[in-house]
Order: sequence, then C-alpha cells, then structure tokens
Amino acid sequence: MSRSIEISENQRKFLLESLKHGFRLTDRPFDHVRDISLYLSPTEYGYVEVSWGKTKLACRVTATVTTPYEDRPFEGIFTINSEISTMASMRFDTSRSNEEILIARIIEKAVRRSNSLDLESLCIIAGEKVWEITVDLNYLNYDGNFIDVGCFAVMLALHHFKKPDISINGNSIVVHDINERQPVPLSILHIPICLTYSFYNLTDKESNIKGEDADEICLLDADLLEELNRDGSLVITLNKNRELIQLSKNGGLPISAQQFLELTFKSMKTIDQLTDLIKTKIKEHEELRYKTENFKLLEASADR
Amino acid sequence: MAFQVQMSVLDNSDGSAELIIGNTKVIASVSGPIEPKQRQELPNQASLEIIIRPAKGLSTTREKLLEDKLRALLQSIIIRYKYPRQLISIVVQFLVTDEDPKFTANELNAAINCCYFALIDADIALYSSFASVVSCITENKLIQNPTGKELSQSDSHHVVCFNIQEGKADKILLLESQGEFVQEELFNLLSESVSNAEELHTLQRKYLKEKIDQDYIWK
Amino acid sequence: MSSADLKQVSFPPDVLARIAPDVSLERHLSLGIRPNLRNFTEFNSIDIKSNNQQLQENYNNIFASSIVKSGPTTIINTLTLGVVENYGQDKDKYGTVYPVVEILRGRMGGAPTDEEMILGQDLYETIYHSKLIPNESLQVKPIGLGIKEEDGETIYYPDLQEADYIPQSEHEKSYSFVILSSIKVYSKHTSTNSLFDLCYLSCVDALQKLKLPRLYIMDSIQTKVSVKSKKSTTRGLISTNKAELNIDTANKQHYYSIELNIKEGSISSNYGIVKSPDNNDESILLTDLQGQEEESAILSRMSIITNKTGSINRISLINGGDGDISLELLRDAIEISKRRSKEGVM
Repeated sequence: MSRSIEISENQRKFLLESLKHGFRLTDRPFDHVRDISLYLSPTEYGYVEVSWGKTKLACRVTATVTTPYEDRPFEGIFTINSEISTMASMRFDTSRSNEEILIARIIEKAVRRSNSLDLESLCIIAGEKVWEITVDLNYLNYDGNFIDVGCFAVMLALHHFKKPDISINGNSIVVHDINERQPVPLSILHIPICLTYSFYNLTDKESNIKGEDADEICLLDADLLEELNRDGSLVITLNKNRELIQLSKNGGLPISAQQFLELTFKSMKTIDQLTDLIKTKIKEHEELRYKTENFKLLEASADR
Repeated sequence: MAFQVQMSVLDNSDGSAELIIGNTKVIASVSGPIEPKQRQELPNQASLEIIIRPAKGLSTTREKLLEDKLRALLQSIIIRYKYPRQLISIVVQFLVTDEDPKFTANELNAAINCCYFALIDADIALYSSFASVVSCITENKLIQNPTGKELSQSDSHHVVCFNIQEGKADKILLLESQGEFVQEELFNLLSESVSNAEELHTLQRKYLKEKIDQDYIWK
Repeated sequence: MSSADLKQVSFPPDVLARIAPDVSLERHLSLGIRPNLRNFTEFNSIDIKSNNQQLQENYNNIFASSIVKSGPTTIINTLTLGVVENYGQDKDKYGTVYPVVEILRGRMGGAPTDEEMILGQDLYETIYHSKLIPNESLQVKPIGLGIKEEDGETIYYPDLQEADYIPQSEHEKSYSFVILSSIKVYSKHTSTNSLFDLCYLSCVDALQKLKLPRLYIMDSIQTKVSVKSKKSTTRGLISTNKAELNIDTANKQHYYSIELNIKEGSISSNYGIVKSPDNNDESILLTDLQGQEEESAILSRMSIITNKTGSINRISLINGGDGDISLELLRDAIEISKRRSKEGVM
C-alpha cells in the first residue's frame, strides 16, 4: 500500500460523468447521509463506536477531578483529543498533517467553543476542584468525511457518558464508585451537528453566474472517492434550534450567497434527523439498561 | 473466556484484525512492505514501525514500553530478510481495556495475539506461529486469563508467548513476569500455559481456516 | 586480462565490532573470552557510595540521593517530593516512584530518547509491581500550623506539641507524598539492560535513605484570586480558602524514614544467550551485557530481579531466535541471580 492515494484518470472521469447524469456511484441521493450504524457500550458509560458507511471511529469520554484554571475557578475543563493514526489511512502520517489539524480544529470549534457542554456544571468546589472531561476520538477507517462523523460521535458519547457521583464535606470530597451510587449524566446545552458539502464543477469553465442550471453540483457527506475529486467544500454546523454554530469554507470552488443560504435551509432536515437519531439511540439504550440492570429495584419512588 | 476475531476489517491497511479476548478489545493494522523514511531504512532487513495507541488519553511512556516489548517479539518472528530496505508499519489501537493503567499484562497479551492475525492477513512472512497467554498467581492459586480486578489483587502476573511448531508449543518467545513469586510457581505456570497456548492455537487455526474458505469461496 | 586477486582484508577490532558485531563476538567466544574481557558469568563490579549526605544537606528539595558507579559509568539519583490530595478514589495498596532518566551524551537538551523513556517507565512499573513502597508510608502525617510570633515563626504539630496546638476545622483533607526520581547517567558505557540494573539499584538505595519532612500551613489563609468572567472583560477578585502547604525544611530533626517492603539483596541482573560457535546445538549464557558486539548481536536476553529470601520479583525474557533459551538456561540464570543476591554486589 502506498502512502498517498492515487486515483486514476478513468476513475475520476467516471465519477464526474455519473454526477453529471445525476447519480452518485453508491446510488445515494445528493443530499442524503450514508447509512449509520452505532454501538453504545453496555458496560462502560461514554464509549461509542460510530460508522457512517465505511468510515469508522471509536469515541470515549472520561472524567477526572482536577484543579481549575486560575482565571476560571468556576468552570470545568473540557478537551477533545483527535489524533489520526496511520491505521485510518496511510495519508495521515505520524507527523501532524494539515488535514488532521483542520479536522481537529473544526470539531473543537463546533463542540467546545460553542459551549455545548456546560462547563459551570462541572464545578465541584469553586477555585479548588472541578471535573475535567476528556474526549478521545480514535479514527479507525477512513472513507471520507471525518469531520461530520467525528462531531456526531463526540455528541453521542457525551450524551452516553455519566460521571461518578460526589459528596462534599466542607472542603473535602468523596468520589463514589459507579457501582456504589448512580452516576450523573452531563449537562449538555445544545447538540451541534456538522454537515460537509462538497462542490464539483462539471464543465471546464467556471461560470460567473451561479444558479441551478449551471453545471456545478453539491453533495452531502462525500465518501473517499468523492472527497478526493471535489473542487471545494463547506462545513456548516447547526443545532436543532436553528442556530448557526460555525462555518468553514476554505477556498476551493466559490458558491453564490444565494446557494449558501439555500444549503443552510436544506440542512435543517438532516440536522433534525441526526439530532433525533442521537436522542432515540440514547433513550433506547437507557431503557435497555433499565431492564437488564433492574434499576426499577433501586427506585425510591412509586409509579402512580 | 471470550475470544473472537474478525480479520480484514480496515480498508486502508494491507492487513488488519479486531480481537476480543476476555474483556479487552483491540484492533491492529499492518501495512507493508512499504516505502520507509530515510532514517528508518535498513540495508538488508525490513524495519519495523510499531505504534500503540491507548484506549484512554494520548500516548505516553507507558505505550512506549509496550511498543518496545512488542517490537522485541516481532522483530525475531517476522522474516525480515525477505523485505530488505522496506518498512512494515504496525498500529495497535486499544478500544476497550480491562485493567488498571498501572498494569499492562492484558493489553500486551491482546496486542500480541491480535498482531498474529493482522500479520497473516497482511501476508507478511513469519518464521512460525505464536500464541500468548496471560495468568496471575494469588495466594498460591493459578488464575488463567484474569480480569482486571483479579490482576490488581494478585501476587504476581505473567505474560508468556510461545512459538508454535506443528501444533505444539515449542519454545518461549517472550516472558514478562512481575510481582512476588518463587521458581516452582513460575515453572508450574509455564507448563500450565503450554496447554493453554496450544488450545489458543487450535482457535487460531479455526479462524484462519474460516477466513481462507471465505476468501476463496469462488474458487 | 589480468585476474583480480581477492586479498583478505583485516579490520582493527573496534571497527570489526561495529561493522560485523556477530562475527567479532563469535571470534572472541571461540577463544573462550568476551570482547569486554570478562568471563562468561562474570558481572561488572558495582560501587555504591554509602553515607554521602552532601546533596540532601545542601539542597532543600532533595530528600534522598544515591550515587552508583560501575566501571566508567556513574549514576546519580536524587529523590524529590510532591504532594497530592486523596479523595478516596485510589484504592491502591502500593505506591511507586516517578523516574525521569537522563543519559548524558553531550547532546544539548532535546526530547527524551526512546531508551530514556523506556528505562523510566520500566523502573516505574517494576517498583510498583514489586510492591516495595506501601501507600501508607506515603501518607502525610498530621499537618502543622505556622504562627507568626514576635521573634519569628513557630510551627505547632498536633502530634508533637499537643498542648499548644490549636485545631483548625478544615484539616480533614488527606494528603500523600509522591516520590519523583531524577536519574542522571554519566559516561554510559554499558548496555541498556545493564543500565536498568544499575538504575534499579540506585532507586532501591535512595528509597532506603529517604527521609520525609513534615508539612504545615500558615495561620493566615485568606487568599484573593483574580477572576475573569466569560461574559465580560473586566477582572474581579474573589477570595478562596486555598491554603498553601509548606514543607518544614527548617526543622530537619523532624524528618522521618519510611517503612518499606524492600527485601535484603534485592538486585537486578541481566543475561544474554548466544549460540556456541563450536557446537551449534549448545547455547552460552553471558551475564551483564556490555559493549558494541554484545549489545547489537545478542537478541536473546533476560532480566531477572531476585532477593535474599530466594523469591523472584521480575523476569523479562525475550527469545531472539538465534540463541535458544531453554528452561535449563532460565534455571541457571535464576540460580546465578539468587547467588548474587545472597553474596551482595559490592
């Protein structure tokens, strides 16, 4: 296996021809996300495995008690580690490539800087002890679109995770084992979902007037082949409340402002779908756990 | 004890394997022979690049030590003279672990066994098969394939890797023993581990046979 | 056409050692000696400076030190301390040392090399698994209270000056010491495995000389911390009860040694196994690998830690395929280690 992925001219032309005729090589609609399969660990809170088509990754959330930053004594600490190893693909060499840095930065902007995790709820004793939440993203297989899958996996793992319960005695604390006392879920303020659109110019000339009849198309959730042949990309991050979290269009094929607004509107459907997927999966998992671990016996209240 | 293997799980590696052994889940990818970096090149043998990524957090010196142990084992078992001036890159990613971070026995054991399948999937020449078993001794009692909890309460823990020839565990390739134990306990453990390793090898053969049957299904 | 005559090229021994270490080693062994001129089962002599308190006396942050010499190699190990708070989540019975190994080679600064990282991590894990340091020994004794009086500062300890001590309510927190070890290796002349043996010896020696200090806090504990809110850019001041722990270095008479689990004669030995040049079925056991040939050509190695009681604390064995490690050889190596533990190493 060589270190760089080489696409033959034939493959490239074939892809662009089929796009011209209105279908993707995997016969997916242009604005559909791939098939998603999720795995939530039944034994460990905070470990999930997410696959969008063949792109696969594992995400784990861990929490430790630590001292807060001196200038922010009321806030917890939240870090996301997303190093890509050569396991995902030989292009992600051991030295941090530009692409890897871009992926890490966008996910950080989307999740951390948008305050999706309420940091003040992580405070235990102001100025002395806070929770430090660490998210580790391990990319296993690369078939395009690490950004969307990564952000989705982080939000899913954060919802799945529960931190140990704590009792405070004056200035000292006791951290209870998760088997001793029911652990506590995190306080998540909103669920950012990233969507990556890829643009293709199907003719040789770039048209100055953009519009529907121009030979430029836009795909959602590109796989590896599509990603390597695209002419430009746009990453939009929104949440279910129709709030724009972050936006990234780094050069590449220009699009009109009109098209951009339309894309944003169209994305809402997918955003809703993905947000609901997270919520239903978590709820399903909770119910399953409730049944298998007999939580009913631990309840102190009675059903009316 | 749970033992489940899936080979060829990754698209971008020459060989890969995902192994669930006990409560430990690990995935290994092997790429090679490929172009080495200038500083890695060896004139008449293949050079090995081994990267171990932990289940939690970023790589630390703990993973460096594990890499060193795995490298010492693999550099004698891979027929390196067959791939001169080339590089064989092995990445081991732990997904789920079952031990306190101060212990590395279960992880080392899982990594060795997973690399076996990944190397075969990548079609890398090996001198022989190998199988690793982990056990611990608590109050003179021998426990095979201990859980993380049993490990932390043990008096000593041991990882043994045997070389398998003609279905028989022939010689010891690697032995990592830590704790407080006596010579008799050690040699008793070694003889018990022989049968354990040979059993593991029959499982290895089973998975390999299934894989080959599946791959050549159109033949 | 003239025919080319191949003349036999002879290399000086140190050049041969680098370009063909296995050939050089084989030639020496067939003569019955090793390139470093030791017998097959002979160890390098080790010298430990026993009562050198110089570092502890001159530096307030060093609580133990050990100097080990073997041949030209000198290892200086200093132990410093850190303090952490316990909140009951760590139920470990044994503690360990956090070592940083630096092999000085004339390189200016730079990141730790793989060898240094591996040595440090190996020491950390071995000390933990050999259960040398019970966690109870690292518990911090009751914290004293420092009071400013007219003629200076006096520190009152609850267990030492019961009558005068004024109890403070917030001292329910429990603290433990953390032992940090800084190991500097000068003139490394030997193999990495032998280096591990020497570093282990220096750690064991330093731990036995370790004396822990008492801790105290000052009477006035109001501290104000500058805080910036996320929403505004102005800074405000809030007061916290963060009392800083101080190490009582003025009262060295209160320093106490700790209870350790170190068995007498705890020693690490390393071995290499190589095929006999005369008889291909036999293997030769070499002790304490040293030198270019032994380090590059010998791939089958063992590292064994034993003590005077005859128990074993660690075995790290790798069979490189060339020299076969049979169970007999393992037994022999264990025997040699046990004998070394009994007889002592100096």
